[in-house]
Amino acid sequence: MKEDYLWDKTGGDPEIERLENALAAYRFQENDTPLIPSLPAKVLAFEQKPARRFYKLAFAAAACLAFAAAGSGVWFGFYNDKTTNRDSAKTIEPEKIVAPRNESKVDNSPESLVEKTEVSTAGKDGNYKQFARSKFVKVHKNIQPVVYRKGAKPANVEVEAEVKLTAEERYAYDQLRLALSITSSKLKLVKNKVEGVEEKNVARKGGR
Amino acid sequence: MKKLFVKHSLKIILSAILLFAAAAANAQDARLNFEKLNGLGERARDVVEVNIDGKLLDLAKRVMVKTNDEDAKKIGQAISGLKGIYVRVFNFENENEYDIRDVEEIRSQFQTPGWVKLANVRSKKNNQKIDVYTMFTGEVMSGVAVVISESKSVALVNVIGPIDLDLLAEMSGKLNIPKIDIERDAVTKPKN
Repeated sequence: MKEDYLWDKTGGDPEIERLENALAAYRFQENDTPLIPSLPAKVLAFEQKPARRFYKLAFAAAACLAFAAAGSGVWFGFYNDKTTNRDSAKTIEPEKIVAPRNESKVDNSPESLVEKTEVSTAGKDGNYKQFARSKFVKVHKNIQPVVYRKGAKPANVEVEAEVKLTAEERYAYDQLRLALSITSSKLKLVKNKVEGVEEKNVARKGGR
Repeated sequence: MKKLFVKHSLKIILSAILLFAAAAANAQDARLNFEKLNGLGERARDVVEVNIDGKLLDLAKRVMVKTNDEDAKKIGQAISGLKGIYVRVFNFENENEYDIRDVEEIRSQFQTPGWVKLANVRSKKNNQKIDVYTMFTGEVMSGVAVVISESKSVALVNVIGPIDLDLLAEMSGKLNIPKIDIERDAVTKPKN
């Protein structure tokens, strides 16, 4: 192929001339509007889709809602943790029994409560697990926060707060306290007896 | 060197097992056998039977240590090594309603090696007999037993593990005896 013909149309090139004649219909004319060639039948026409403005808005709205939901969930979770921590701290404290005002009339010695304890102690086969299971109490969360004025005591300071122990914990703790109270009273009795005997001996020696 | 170790490793393991078994046996020896007292329960007016060991004791100790009560905390620390506590109290309506030989059989268990007499009190008033024995494993206390018999009552306390006796005696009266609701317990007690 001669390149001069392509550059400034000098010389001759039959091949290029043949191509030019074949494409003459599509030669650019200044006044002509450009013709969009029709596609052959085998090629499917491209359908221009409408603008996706609706979907963009929908996605944006959904994203906002999801963000708001996540944020509120985190915030509520954080708030609930605060109140739960305050409540769970109370669950550990055991119940402190308030002594009656007129203690002289009440005999708190272990032996005086023997009648009461007969029913409540473990059965003869020691089946405390079944006993504890039947007494299991559901613990409800107290979501309302307790607000104190600076320097002021809470309203229920005179009454011991009810401790949220499980039934098994309460049973175990009560049993241990009972056992230790009986043990300590017997040891105290022994100690008093021994000290009493010693005092008598000292007194006898002093009298001689 | 390796051959020597392998050769003697079996002996070392066996001796370790034996030592462990001996220690365990010693710990078990501090436990008294209360079977002979079953007859007393039938004749007694009131019976208190408390058995705390294993997981129940661990649970109770955890609650005691976490409490805000200073006395309970002090006791919780004192009983941290406790392995078991067993209490029997029998109160009778009239004098000499029980067979003293049943109680003497319990006392005879103190004749086994390991038990050391700590206190022994005899009083003609109410035919009172008090015995306090301890058991030591090496230098560590492994058990305490208190047996008190009177004309109208019998009380036995068996503590397994180290415990501060002085502190416990000092705490007498300070440990709040738990309120026990008889009606509630009667209703909720499972039917056997």
